[in-house]
Amino acid sequence: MEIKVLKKILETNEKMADENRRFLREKGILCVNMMSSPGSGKSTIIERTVEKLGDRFKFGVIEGDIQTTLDAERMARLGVETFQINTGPFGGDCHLEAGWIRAALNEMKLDGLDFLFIENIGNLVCPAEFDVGSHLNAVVLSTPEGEDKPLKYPLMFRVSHVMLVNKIDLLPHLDMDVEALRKNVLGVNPGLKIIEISAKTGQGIDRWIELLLAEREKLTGEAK
Amino acid sequence: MHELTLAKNIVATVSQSLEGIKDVKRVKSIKLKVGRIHVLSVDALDFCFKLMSKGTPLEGAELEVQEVPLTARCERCDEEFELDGYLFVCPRCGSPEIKVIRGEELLIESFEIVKEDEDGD
Repeated sequence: MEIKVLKKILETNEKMADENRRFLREKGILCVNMMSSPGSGKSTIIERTVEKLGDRFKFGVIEGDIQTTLDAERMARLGVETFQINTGPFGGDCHLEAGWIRAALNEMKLDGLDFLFIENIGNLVCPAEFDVGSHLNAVVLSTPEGEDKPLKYPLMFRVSHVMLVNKIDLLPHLDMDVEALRKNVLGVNPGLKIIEISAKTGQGIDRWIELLLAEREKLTGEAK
Repeated sequence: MHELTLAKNIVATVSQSLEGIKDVKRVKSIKLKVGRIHVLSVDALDFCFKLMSKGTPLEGAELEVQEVPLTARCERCDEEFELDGYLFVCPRCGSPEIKVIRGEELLIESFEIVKEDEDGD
């Protein structure tokens, strides 16, 4: 006997993600899901962002890691409301899900926050599959990783709204072809915004900041 | 390895659907529709499903995965086409304004059950 179901496999996650998104919007908090390979510079970009805007805005960070609290310690040093999720004891999941974020939100002091960064687990495959309830998805690709990544991991670049091409200061030492990267990534997602930055030298960070402020304004405008 | 999470969700969703059905002996097969954008490893999913379904009525069920090619329609010239690789542009007019109409789904379509009074083969 055949039973028709026609249900999304990730329906539960999607529902919870929508609830997270609504909850954060009502609080006026822009939630940014930062995704990338390991070592592309997510933490440093968040640090630079907090340094630039920390005197005007309040930040929270949810750190996702399989093991260690190293990134959370970096963030806590900046005076940021930080919550660490270690997936290691629960099967070592390679991505965060909306349910984890919900649990973190329940524990965090959210009042007065303007921005919440979710530093997802370093991996270009799995985090792309799971909506966490963010308003902005940012994929970080560092120049040493090469221009072919959007073609190898298309879903990640499809679900992202902005790509930060980090470590742009290393270009003179690499064979990376930024024009080819642009062509590849816009082929996968024609609407993607691209910002070239160096979290180390500060190049391009202002454009990223502008984007964040504009997105937050859009969100809080919507909430009214 | 998000296949593990997918397997967990498949087991949870089908188990939930079973609650309203009487005298279920076991689930024989589950039909899934998976869009090509998900680059799913069917072998990994099979392996994870075996682990996650152990001790449930889903144990031993066969996963029938139908892979759905990426198909889009051009919003400028209305051409409907299957994507070549992951290049999201219209092959006829070159426009990037295309709408994906198939190939992004991740669905449980149906499942087949064997009832207590059936032998099921």
